This record gives sequence, structure tokens and C-alpha cells, in this order.
Amino acid sequence: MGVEILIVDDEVEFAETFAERLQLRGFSVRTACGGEEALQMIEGGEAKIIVLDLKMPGMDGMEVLRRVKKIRPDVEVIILSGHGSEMDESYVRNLGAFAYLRKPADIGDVLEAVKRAENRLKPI
Amino acid sequence: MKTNELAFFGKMAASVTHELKNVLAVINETNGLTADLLGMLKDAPFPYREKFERSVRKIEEQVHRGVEITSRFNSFAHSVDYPLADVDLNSIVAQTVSMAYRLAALRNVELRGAVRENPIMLFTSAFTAQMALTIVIEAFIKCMDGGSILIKVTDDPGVPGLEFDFESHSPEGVTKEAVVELEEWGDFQELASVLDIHPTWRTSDGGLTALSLAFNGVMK
Repeated sequence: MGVEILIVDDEVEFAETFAERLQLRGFSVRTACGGEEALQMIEGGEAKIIVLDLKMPGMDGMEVLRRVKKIRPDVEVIILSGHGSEMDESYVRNLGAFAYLRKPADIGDVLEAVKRAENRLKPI
Repeated sequence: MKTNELAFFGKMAASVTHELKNVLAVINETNGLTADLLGMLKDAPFPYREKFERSVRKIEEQVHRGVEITSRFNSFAHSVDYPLADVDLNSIVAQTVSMAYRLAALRNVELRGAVRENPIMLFTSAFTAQMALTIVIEAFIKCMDGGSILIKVTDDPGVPGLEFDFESHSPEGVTKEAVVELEEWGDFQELASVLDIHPTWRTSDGGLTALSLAFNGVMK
């Protein structure tokens, strides 16, 4: 079983189907449909990689990213959003996001980003 | 349109395209899951396997098409964010052609664009420029009975511009008079004066073969 991945997206259908596809590839996956729920799951949780949407009602993805990096700097965050400009990309990278993918993304690109994130998590 | 109306249009259009991308993402993942399951059953006997696989491929292609269309429309919607900005004439043409392609196809006119490799920067309103070009396209397709329009980006010598090459299927071709009489042409001239665009016609045997638009300076 690979590392645990947390998918944070208010589009429940998307999050669940995407989770199923990652589970078929051997990952342990959980989903959260909002920022607050995600932060509760991250604090003290097992997730090492987060796949995070940017535009969500309530706490948006940028705020989630900011808080995650404060409470769990070891967690790698991959942004997966249908929205977003080059400016957003550079902003979230400065906040500590590891990769930035646009929805709908090719599963191969997501797996590649997850693999790179896993490599960064390995102790040297 | 007034600035606040434009801003409202841009905001609403950007929000709708965002929603559409979410819809496409759900379709993409659901289709991907079907493909994954088909892949897992690749050695098991499966009736209509080929039909299922073909359907998956078709959905995938249409998702890509949908993403391209929504992305273009999203850029168009965001072009109102900055009333005046440095914009590449090549992008204006590429964007306009992709958005007006269907409009022309409905009149049996094939619309194509030819951009240059080097960026040709203008300090102008991308939204207004695209609107002006779409009006020109609309005026021409109304006078054509099928055929093609090729919009080429030019930069001779240092004056950025566009050249519209026409090929009409009707034997009499398109006449300058027919185009000028259209209401759309009046609308274009109004915008052309604001954008400082100067049109030049080229005709052969009374029929119109080309129209050049020189972007002489910055927007007034």
C-alpha cells in the first residue's frame, strides 16, 4: 500500500471517483469536501500527500494550503484546480505547493506528481 | 458596453467556465474509471468489449474538445479584466478564429488563421479588438455563399496588421459594396476608429479578394 493521499474537493462526485481510481492503483485514499474538514483530518492524521482544489466554498484552497504548511510542513500538497492563472500558480508555489495541475487532469500526470511527492517524503 | 457591464460579463463568464470545467472533470474521471475497469478485465471474455472501448475513447476526445473550448472562452472572458494592456496580435487572431469558427461553419465558410512565430505586441483592448474582428468576419460570411476566409497576421515593415483572404463559392464573389452596406460594417468602422485600425481593400474583376487591416497605433 502506498502513502495515504487526501483529496480535498467540494465536488463530491469528482473526489470520490478520483479516489476510486487511485485506490485501484494501490493507494490509500480519503476525501474531504471542504477546507475545515480537511484540516481536521490532516491534524494528527496519516495523510502525507494532499490533492487540493483551489475554489471551494468557505475556506478556499489557498487558505487550506497556508494552514497545512503551518501545522504539517512535512505534507506535500498538489494543487488540482479547474480555475487558476499563471499568477495563482506562482502564488501557491510560494506558499509551498509542490505541484500544480489543471482539471481535468490526465491520471498519468497525477500519478507522476504523486510519485515525485513520494520521493521527496523518503528519508535520505 | 460600459466598463462595469464588461466587468460583470467577464465575472459571470469566468464563473460559468469554471463550473463547466468541473463538469468535464467529473465526466473525465468517471470515463477514466470505466477505462481502468476495462483494463483490469482485459483477459476476461467480455461481450461488446470493442464497443465499450470505442465509447471510452470518444468520451475522452470530447472531454478534450470541451476543455479546449472552455479554456478559450475563459481567456476571452478574462480579456475584459484589463481595459488596456500589452497583447499579442497572434493571440487575438487565434482566439477570435477559434471562437468564430462555428459561426462561419454554419454559413458553409471555412475560417482559418495564420499567425506568426514572433509575438506582435499591441497596447490595446484585447476584448474590443476581438469584437471588431468578429464583426468583420460576420459581415463577410453574410455576403458569401460558402467558401473560406484566411486571416493572416502581418508585420510589414513594423506596422502590425491583418490580411483577410476571401474565396467565395458564388460566381459573382463578394463585392466591397455589399459588405459596406451591412449594419455590421458600420459597427466595425466605429470600433476601428477607436482602435486606430485602417482598412484597405483589394478587388479583382469587381469581386473582393482581400482586406488588409493596419493597426496604426495605440488605442485612442
